[in-house]
Amino acid sequence: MSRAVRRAAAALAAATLGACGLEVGPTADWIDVATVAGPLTAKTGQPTDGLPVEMARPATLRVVSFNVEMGADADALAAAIRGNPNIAGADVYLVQEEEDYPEESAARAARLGDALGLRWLYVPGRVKGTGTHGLAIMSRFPITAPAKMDLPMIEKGQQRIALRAAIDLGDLALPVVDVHLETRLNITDRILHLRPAVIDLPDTVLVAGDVNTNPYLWDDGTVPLIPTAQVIDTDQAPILDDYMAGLGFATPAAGVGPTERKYGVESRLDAIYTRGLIVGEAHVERTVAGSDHWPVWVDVTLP
Amino acid sequence: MSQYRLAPIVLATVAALAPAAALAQPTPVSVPTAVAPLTAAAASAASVDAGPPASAPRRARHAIYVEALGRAGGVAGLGYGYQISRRLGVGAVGSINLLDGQRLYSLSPFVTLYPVGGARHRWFVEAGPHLARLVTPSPVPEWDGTSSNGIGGQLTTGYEYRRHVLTRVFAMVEVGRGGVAPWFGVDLGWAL
Repeated sequence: MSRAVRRAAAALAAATLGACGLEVGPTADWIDVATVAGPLTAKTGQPTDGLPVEMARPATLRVVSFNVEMGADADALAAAIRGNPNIAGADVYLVQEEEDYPEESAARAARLGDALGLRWLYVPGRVKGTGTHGLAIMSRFPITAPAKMDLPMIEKGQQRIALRAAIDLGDLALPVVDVHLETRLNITDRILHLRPAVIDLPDTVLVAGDVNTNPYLWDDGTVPLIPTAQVIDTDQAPILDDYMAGLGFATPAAGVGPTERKYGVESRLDAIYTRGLIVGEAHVERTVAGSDHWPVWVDVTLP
Repeated sequence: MSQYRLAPIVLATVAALAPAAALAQPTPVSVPTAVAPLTAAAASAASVDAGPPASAPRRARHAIYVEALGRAGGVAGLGYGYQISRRLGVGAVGSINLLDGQRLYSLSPFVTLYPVGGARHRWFVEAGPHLARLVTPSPVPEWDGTSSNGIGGQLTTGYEYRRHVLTRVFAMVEVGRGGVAPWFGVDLGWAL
């Protein structure tokens, strides 16, 4: 075999071994949001027209996870939520993609919380333009012990956070964690991205949010391998469910179907996980407008 | 995790194959100077419109190429084609892609038909199965990882230029349990 042919064969063999991967940054600890100053200062409040009606500790808690796609029109969003009887009276909302701009009258989470008559907490994850972008929790019950974690930075990505707080139910403080993960990740990096926020949680806890479990393999975080997704199961949602189940979490949203439809592709991007709680099947409300995601909810029986 | 760019690999492949391609050049045919222009024009026309004449050099039956996107499963793969006759061929494209620790193995054998065209410029149609295996090792100690296998079908059609080098641009559809998806690809390699 000539030298040229050997070189050609070696180079062509190398060409078939396409290898790529995104860098996953270091992990961080939970920090009390009260210790964060500057533009990423958290905000919290209660409805301007008075406290929510105090309720006795319920037997069950209805929890909604909703990516509100920047929540620019808080009044329309509130109307959409109030217009759906299954989520209109929910007890806790874990909200993703809220924003706050100084040129607007108030933080969008504050306006949504006001419109729904709920206590609210907004925690920015990053600066965006003149304002911030982050997560929010809204609740009929007091929201205590808020903490945030900077999730590992993903190459080509943006700073994402997890928001942890306790819903004060009197004799029970139910820990909840709100997350919003990076978009164009493969499942291995998605697990590494989420893991710091869920690996050391207490035995009784609810985790929910936009985990962006899309149905594709990604090459270098850029090219979705669309044909391969037709042939082989590349959906990330059941794999993340399997990972969380290994940590002792129930996966009530495993069977809810898509929570987003974009470009004709339906994906289950949003999830709810519970541990130490009795939980029924989750539901998706696909008639709720105002966002590119549909809200997901679940009823949790309190211990 | 390490990150490797594909472009240098492809360029290295092209560079490495250049000597082999040069060796594969046919010996020029000597013709009388007075009729050379007419002969060349006629040969050119024949090769475009009706394939090479009987006295032409041996047809390049083998093709080896790098495929970008297309049937490769990942973003690139290695393909081989064998021309059984002027209108019929067989081949396969395969790849191994490492994607953030996941390993995607892909193989797409196919049959090629050339309904229209000559020796150099042709329209081709290809069809065949697509076999894939995805292995997802666990990146963490508390999970075991997973794997899955799948089979689908591919229908490809496009333009091919073949004369020492092989160039193809094509559209395709992939059919499988996940549905139907359109896609496209480019081949670049050598006809030997």
